[in-house]
Amino acid sequence: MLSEEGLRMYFAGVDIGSTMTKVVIMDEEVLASIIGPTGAEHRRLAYRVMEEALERAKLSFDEVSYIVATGYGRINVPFADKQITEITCHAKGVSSLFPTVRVAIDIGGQDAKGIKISDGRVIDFVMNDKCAAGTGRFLEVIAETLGLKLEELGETSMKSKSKVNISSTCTVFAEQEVVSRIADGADIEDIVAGIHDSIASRVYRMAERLKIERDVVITGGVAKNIGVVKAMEDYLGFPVLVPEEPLLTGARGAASLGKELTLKALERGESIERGTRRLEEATFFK
Amino acid sequence: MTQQKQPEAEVPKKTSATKWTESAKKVRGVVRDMYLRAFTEDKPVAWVMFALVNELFVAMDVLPVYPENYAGLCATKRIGDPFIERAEADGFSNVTCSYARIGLGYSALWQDTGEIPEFAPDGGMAKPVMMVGSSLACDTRYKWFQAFSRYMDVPYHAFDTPNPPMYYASRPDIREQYTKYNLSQLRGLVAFMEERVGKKMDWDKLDEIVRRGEKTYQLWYDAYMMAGRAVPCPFPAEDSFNCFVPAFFCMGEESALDFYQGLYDEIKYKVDNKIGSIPEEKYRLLWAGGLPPWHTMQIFNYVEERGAVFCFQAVYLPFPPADLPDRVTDPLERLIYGRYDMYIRRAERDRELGLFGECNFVGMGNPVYFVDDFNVDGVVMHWLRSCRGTTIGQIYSKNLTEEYSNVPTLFLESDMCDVRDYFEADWKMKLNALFETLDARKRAGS
Repeated sequence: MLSEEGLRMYFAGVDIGSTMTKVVIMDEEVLASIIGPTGAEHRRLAYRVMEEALERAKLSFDEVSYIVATGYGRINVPFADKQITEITCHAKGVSSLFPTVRVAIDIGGQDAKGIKISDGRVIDFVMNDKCAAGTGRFLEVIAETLGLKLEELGETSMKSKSKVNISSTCTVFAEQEVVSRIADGADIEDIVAGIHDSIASRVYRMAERLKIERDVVITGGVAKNIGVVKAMEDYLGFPVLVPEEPLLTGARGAASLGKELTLKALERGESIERGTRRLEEATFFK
Repeated sequence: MTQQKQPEAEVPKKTSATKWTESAKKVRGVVRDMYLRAFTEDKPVAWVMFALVNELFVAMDVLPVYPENYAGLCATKRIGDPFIERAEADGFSNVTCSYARIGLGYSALWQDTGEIPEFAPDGGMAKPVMMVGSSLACDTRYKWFQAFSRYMDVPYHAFDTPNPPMYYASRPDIREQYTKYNLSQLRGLVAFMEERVGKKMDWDKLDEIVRRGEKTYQLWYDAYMMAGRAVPCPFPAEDSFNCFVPAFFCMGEESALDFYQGLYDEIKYKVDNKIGSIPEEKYRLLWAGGLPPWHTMQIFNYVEERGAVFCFQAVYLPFPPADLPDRVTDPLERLIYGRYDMYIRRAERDRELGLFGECNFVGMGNPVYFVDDFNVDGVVMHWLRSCRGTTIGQIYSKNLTEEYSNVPTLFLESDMCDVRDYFEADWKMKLNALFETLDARKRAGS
C-alpha cells in the first residue's frame, strides 16, 4: 500500500494487556512482532517495546503511517493515533488469519472474552465476570502451588488417566482444593487436568451465551496450553483453531484496523486523523 | 417524635449524572424534603418497603420513609460503604441486597451509639413508630424489615402481596381469590397502622387519595411512554431513573400529581419541538434489566459524550394503567384492581408477541416490548451481584431480544449500591466495544 506521495505505508498495532504487551508492525504482511511483559514499569515504558519492534522491522517511527492501541492499557499510549477496544481488534485479527471463524474465545492473563464474528466484524461479545477463575491468572496460581512452570501444565495434563474435579468458582478456593488433593495423594497430572477442565467449563459457560457456531478460534496466552484447548474441545464437541502465535491476534487486528482506516481515508480523499504521536513514556498521574 | 438533626458529613466528589429535564432536577429536593419532614413535622414516621400502598400512609397522616430509597441516596453520594461494612460485620452476607445492607448498617450503627450516624446524608432517617415490610418483588423484604425492627426495637408488620399466575390472571375465579386475599392483607395492614397511631382510617379521605394516585399514575405512564417513543430522546434514562421517585414514594400526595403533570408538560413540549438531550443521537440504547448503578450515574453522561443515549429504562417503569370500572368503589379494592391488571396486560402483550412462560420478574419490562417501538439500536442489562430479583432472567431476555429484534445486548456487572463491585475501566471498555459493534453493524447495513 502506497501513500499519496508514493511511499510505502506501514501500520502498527499495540496491545497492552494486563499481563503482556504485544506489538505488530505490518504492511501487506507482518514485518515484525514482539511480546513483552506488562508490569507497572513496562506499562509506563510501552514506547520501548514499540522501539524494539521498529528496530526489528528496520523502520523509523515516522515511517509508520498509523498506530492503533488496544487492550486495557490502550488509553495510556501517547504515541498511538487511535484507541480501539480489544474486542474489535481481536475479531479483526482472527478473521484475517481464519476467515471462517464465527466465534473467538480469548483467554488472557486476567480476563476471558467470547466474540461472535460475521464477515470479520463483531456482532456480539461477552466477557468474564470480575473473577480470576477462568483466566490465565488462575493457571499461574495453580502452577506455583504445584511447583510447575506455567508452560509445563499443558503437557503434564495430557498424561492424566482420571482427572480430579476442581471447583471453578474461585481461584483461592481452587488453590486450597489443589493443596488438599495433593495431600490426598492425587496424581499431579490428574490435578492439572482437573484445573484445565475447571477453566474450560467456566469459559465455555460464558461463551455459550453467544450461541456458539463453528469455526471457533482460541486466542490469548492460555491458548498455548494444550490441556485447556483440549478441554475446550471436549465442551464444544468439535476441534478448535489456534493461531501459531495466539498472543498476537489483538495487536495484529489493531494494525489491520489502522490500515483499513487509512485506506478508507485515502479512498475518500481525506487526510488521516493522527494522534499527538509522542514516542515517550506514559504519564498516569497529572 | 421530633428528633435532633445531625450534621452532615463531607460529600465526596460528584458521581451523579447531569440531568436534562427541569423535572429531574427537582427530584433531589423531593428526596431531601422526604427525609427532612420526618424530623420537622409532628407526625408519626413509618419505615416502609415499597409495595404500591403509599396512599394508605398518606391517608393515615403517617410519614413513610423508604430505606431502599435512602440506600440509593447513600450510594449516589458514595457514602454507603460504612453502612455496608457495619451490616457485614453483623454477619449479613455480601450478596444480601445492598439496599438492605445499607439500611441494616444504618440501624446497627444507630443501635451502637443511640444516635443517627453523623455521616448519614440528608440528616438520616428519622426513628419510626412502625416498620412495614411486604413480599412484593423479592424474598429479602420480609426478613429485612424484621431485622430492622429488632435493631430499632420498633413493632413490625409484614403483609403478603403475591403475584397471581400471570397466564391465568384473566380467569374471574382467580381474580376473585386474589382480590379477596389481598384485601385481607391490606385490611390487616390498616388495622396495624390504626393500632400504632391510635386513630381510625378515614375511608373517604383514602378514596380521594387513591383516585388522585390513579390520575398521577396515568400521567406518569403517559409521560414515560411519550418520551420513550420520541426521536430525538428528550428524557434519557438517567432522568427517568430520578423521576420515578414521586410515583414510588409519594403516590397519593398532591405534590406527586403536580410533579407528573409538570413532567408530562415538559416532555410534551420537548417532543413537539423536537428537543433532544444530546445534539446528535447516533445510537439509541435501552436499559433493559437490572437496577441502575446509583454509585456512578455519571456513566450515562459518558455514553452521551459518545453520541449514544439511553432512550428508555425498562426497570422503574409504569405498566399500562388499569381501566377501573365504576362498580369498584372500595379504595383498597381499587388499589388491588390496578395492580392485578398489570398481570393481565402483561400476559396479553406476551400472547401478542407469541411469548409464553416468560420468566423475568414482573416488575421489569421485557426488552422485546420496547426495542422496535422505541427505535432501539442496542440493549444493555446490568448484572447485580446483590439483586437476584432483577438479574434472574436476563440471559433469557437477551435470547428473546436476539430472536425478535436482531439488536446486540451488552451485560455490565456491578451492584446497585455496593461500589466495591464496580470496575469503571471494565464498564467503559465494554461500552466502547458496544459502540464499535454498532458502528460495524451500521457499516454492514444490518
